[in-house]
Amino acid sequence: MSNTSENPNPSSSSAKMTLKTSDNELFEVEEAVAMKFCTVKQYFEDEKDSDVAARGSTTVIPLPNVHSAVLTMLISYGKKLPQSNAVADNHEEEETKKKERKKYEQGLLKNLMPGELLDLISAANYLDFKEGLEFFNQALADHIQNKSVEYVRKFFGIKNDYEPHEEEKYREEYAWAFEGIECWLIGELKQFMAKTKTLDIAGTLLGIKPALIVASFSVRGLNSLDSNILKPEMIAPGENILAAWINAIGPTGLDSNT
Amino acid sequence: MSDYLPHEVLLEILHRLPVKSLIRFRCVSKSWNSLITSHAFIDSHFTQSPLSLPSNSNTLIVRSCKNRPNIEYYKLIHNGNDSSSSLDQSQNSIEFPLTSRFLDYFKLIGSVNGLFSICEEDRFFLWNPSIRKCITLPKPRIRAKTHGPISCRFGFGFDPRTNDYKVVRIVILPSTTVMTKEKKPPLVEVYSLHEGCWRITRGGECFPSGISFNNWLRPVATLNGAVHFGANDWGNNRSLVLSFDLGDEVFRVISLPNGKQFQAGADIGTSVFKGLLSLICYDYECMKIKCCSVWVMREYGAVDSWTKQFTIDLNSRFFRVLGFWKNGHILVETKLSLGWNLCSYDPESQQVKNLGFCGSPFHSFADSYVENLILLDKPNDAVSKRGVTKKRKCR
Repeated sequence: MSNTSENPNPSSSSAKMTLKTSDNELFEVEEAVAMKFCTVKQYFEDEKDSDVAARGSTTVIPLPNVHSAVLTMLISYGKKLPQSNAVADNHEEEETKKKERKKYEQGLLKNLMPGELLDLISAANYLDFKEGLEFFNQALADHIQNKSVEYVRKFFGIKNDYEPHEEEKYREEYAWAFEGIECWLIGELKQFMAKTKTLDIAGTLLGIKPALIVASFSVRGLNSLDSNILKPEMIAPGENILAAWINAIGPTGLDSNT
Repeated sequence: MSDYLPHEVLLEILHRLPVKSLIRFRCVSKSWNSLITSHAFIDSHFTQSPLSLPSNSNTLIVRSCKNRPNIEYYKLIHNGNDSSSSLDQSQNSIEFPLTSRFLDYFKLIGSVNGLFSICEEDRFFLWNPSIRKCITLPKPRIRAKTHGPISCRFGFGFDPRTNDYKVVRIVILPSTTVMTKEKKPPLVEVYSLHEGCWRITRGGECFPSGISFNNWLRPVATLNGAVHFGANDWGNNRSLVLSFDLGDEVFRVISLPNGKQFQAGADIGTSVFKGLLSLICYDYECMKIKCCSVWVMREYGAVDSWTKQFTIDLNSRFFRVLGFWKNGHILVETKLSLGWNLCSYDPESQQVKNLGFCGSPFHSFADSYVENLILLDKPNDAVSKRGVTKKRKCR
């Protein structure tokens, strides 16, 4: 994704633009899609007015407030929208496209974490991406609609500035509005439970060739020489393991990890 | 998770929330509370929220009156898919906040944008069922005590120019009868929600002479910032529609097409069909109701644009037309074996869908349920009868 390209005549439909995110990733985007981001459009038009020809190479539009992960999602959503320069479809094609889009939207929301929604909305707002903003705003509204007050406070990071007795009085007076709302603690527990997995015993496998060998440095079992060595209840592979780590701190403490 | 959401984005999200969530989220913080109860937000939430459009509403609010004891009930009827043939509905009842002093039903003046106007004798109320708020209006100036035996006609409407809700009370003074030549013009008193008080307007002075209201006592149509009454012009033996504009507070006459069914004394009421002024006309034959025809004024103000939309054969099954639903379905009261039921009738397919029991037929009411935050910023008045729920341990 880090190659820049020539920027030919902007009116051609296959023109591409390069966008640079806050983490210095470069994205090559079709102009039709990029123009949906009105901030980009404005930048592009301002650049056109100024003396671009003298620059020679393509302008890279910087987006210092947008992270690459977020931009990826926004671009893929933008691609699914009806393009303004596309040839007008007949009714049937339009209906099929609408259904496809709805299916895509549902799939997108299913895999989205609520916190990511906020990032998407902030980015879409910065980019002035109207269709994206409308879609993600509606998704967020649908998400918080049935949530409790505590959830909303935690979600938006809002401090409760009511006195306890004031809040109590309000909840009593408008008890009907608080009916049927899931207590936030239970909601968190449910989410947590959904994430935990259980290990089932698959059974004993026989006849595997070659048989697994315990590593030379690992314990194998009781030994007549030293009675302090314990027999393991369970063993698992420990050499050449692929593991995960967070971006900020690598496992070896070096600058790069291979 | 971002720490700071721009104000306009927060507003956008709040606009998309239903009313129940907004009432609950007033508790989130003081700034959210002042945002939600601000006049600007109350107005903009109604105009911008997709949930507030009657055409989007899949829910009906229905008033049914049971007798002995005479109590009225309101309930919501949800209707899922139009195409589903099964009776797949869930009903929620809404508590009616007022108690009648006469152990009888209140008079429902009308409903617009989800706000109801109700009265009993000299007591007037405005009720918003979606936020369960009811306010008592001050007593009107013109009363039986001060002006003698009076009779009134009411209308309730919305003036889109000022975003104001108004209750119109047309008082017909005692010496005015149909046949006498000396007729006192009626007095018109208007209550405006913005002003918060009744005001005697000069509309009565321009009341057209020779016109008297007909006997239609159900809620009248409110459209284009005016309320529309059915009226009779006995001198010319014709019926007509009398509109009272809520902005300039002037009466205007809307003529009806020529024809036997529009003679003076006809049983005609005004309603709104797909955003157009419409008439519900009952045709009698030998003193019995034969059929009901619905006329629509396709172009507001153009007399030649009155078109007959459909005719409904009123056999012993259907009794009265209550109004219209989205997609042009008609809401009718039907007599079934168990009593009076509310039904949705599709004039094109002639299919009738039973929506549930609705009690005594003369006082029923059904309309699209619309959520609105109006009255949220008004001080509490008539308190709900239901007691406080017990505290829950887990919040």
